[in-house]
Amino acid sequence: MTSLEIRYRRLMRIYPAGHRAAYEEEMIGVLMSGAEPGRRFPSPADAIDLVRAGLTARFGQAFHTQRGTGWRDAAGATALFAALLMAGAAINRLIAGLTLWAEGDPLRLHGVEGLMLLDPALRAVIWPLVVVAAVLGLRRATVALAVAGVLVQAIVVVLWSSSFPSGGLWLDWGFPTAIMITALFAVAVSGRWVRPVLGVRGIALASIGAVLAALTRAPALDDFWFDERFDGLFFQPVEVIQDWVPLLVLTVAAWTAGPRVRGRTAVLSAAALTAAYAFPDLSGLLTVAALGDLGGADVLSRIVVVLLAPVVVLAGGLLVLAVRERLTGRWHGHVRAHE
Amino acid sequence: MREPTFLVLTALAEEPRHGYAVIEDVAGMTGGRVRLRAGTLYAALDRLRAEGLIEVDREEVVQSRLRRYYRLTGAGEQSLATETARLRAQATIAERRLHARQTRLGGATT
Repeated sequence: MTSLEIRYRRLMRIYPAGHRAAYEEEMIGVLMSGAEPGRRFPSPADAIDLVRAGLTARFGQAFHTQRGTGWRDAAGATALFAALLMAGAAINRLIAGLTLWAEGDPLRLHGVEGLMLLDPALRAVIWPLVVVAAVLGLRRATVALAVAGVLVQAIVVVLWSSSFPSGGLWLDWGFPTAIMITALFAVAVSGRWVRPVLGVRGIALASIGAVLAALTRAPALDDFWFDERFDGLFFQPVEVIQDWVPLLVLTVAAWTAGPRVRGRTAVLSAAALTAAYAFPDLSGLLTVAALGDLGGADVLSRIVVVLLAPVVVLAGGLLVLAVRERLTGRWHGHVRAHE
Repeated sequence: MREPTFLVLTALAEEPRHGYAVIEDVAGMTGGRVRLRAGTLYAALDRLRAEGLIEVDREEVVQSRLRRYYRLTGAGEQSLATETARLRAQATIAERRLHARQTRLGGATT
């Protein structure tokens, strides 16, 4: 071993052990190949570069470019999945509404015939537009349309809340989901966009999931994702196909994104689904609170639980990811060290 | 996408290459303007592997030195194509504006 190689190896100690185990021999080969014959000390430019890159690898994982952590990619993928489901659910509701309309149901709301159809009609326009913009790679247009989606969901909330004769708040999973979709797309804007992350196959699979969601019964997300009928019915083939196949297809779609993005997409999706599932409970709780009957600590504690549930799921997911990646890093380091 | 990343992906778009070959190819592509250092190169390779844009093609031991060859994945190819299209669009705009400016200034001086 030459004195130059020994000095390069000393410089490499600045890197964390896992990185050294994976790349040290390779990097030493590259450094030695690029060194002029007879050189005994690393060139200042190489030394500075190694120190900078080594410190970044050791301490700068957080800003080792946020793109590199995969979170922005996962945010984009999760937002697309959610937007696809919103589109699928809206089209499903519109089909159901039009079917009832054709059968003679007036779908009267606030005394106006057919006004009930306004809700699914608006949603069936905006969410497919969001999906199309996202798939076409129109980043800012996607975010702008998602903001419009939030407004549509707010209109839906007002439309149904104002129909309660005694007053009250009607919230569904769509409103918080729309906010989450907008936030996730906004985060994803500066990362890789959905097409490079998921690939054509992933997007095609996700679209199939949404079409299944649109065409199957799927009356609402609370029944759709979290089937409460954990009885014999749940295991009937038709129920399984209607309720769980779209979810399975979306899971397969997420699988195409690579291991790092896949794990993050799973964590973000779990948190988003928890929020979507828990949020509608707020309508009853807030209505009770608005009527001045807080019911003591019970109602308040339930509100806190509902608000904290997604945070807890997100934190749990982050913990699992951190443990998994630490174990994987060790395993890779162990293997590489023997190469 | 930062320039070193773009250049590394471009180097691997032609054929699988090991680290030093990537450095040489990038230097050749850019007429010597960009000469990647080992620290910068392996930071990029590590990140690109983590993102699934490149993967290990094969490994060789040459003169007792490990050589690991990297190749572009399908996702890497798409990412490079997207970035290339973006750069081309920007270059086209710049070219058009420069042309318009030259025409305008040329007209003013005559």
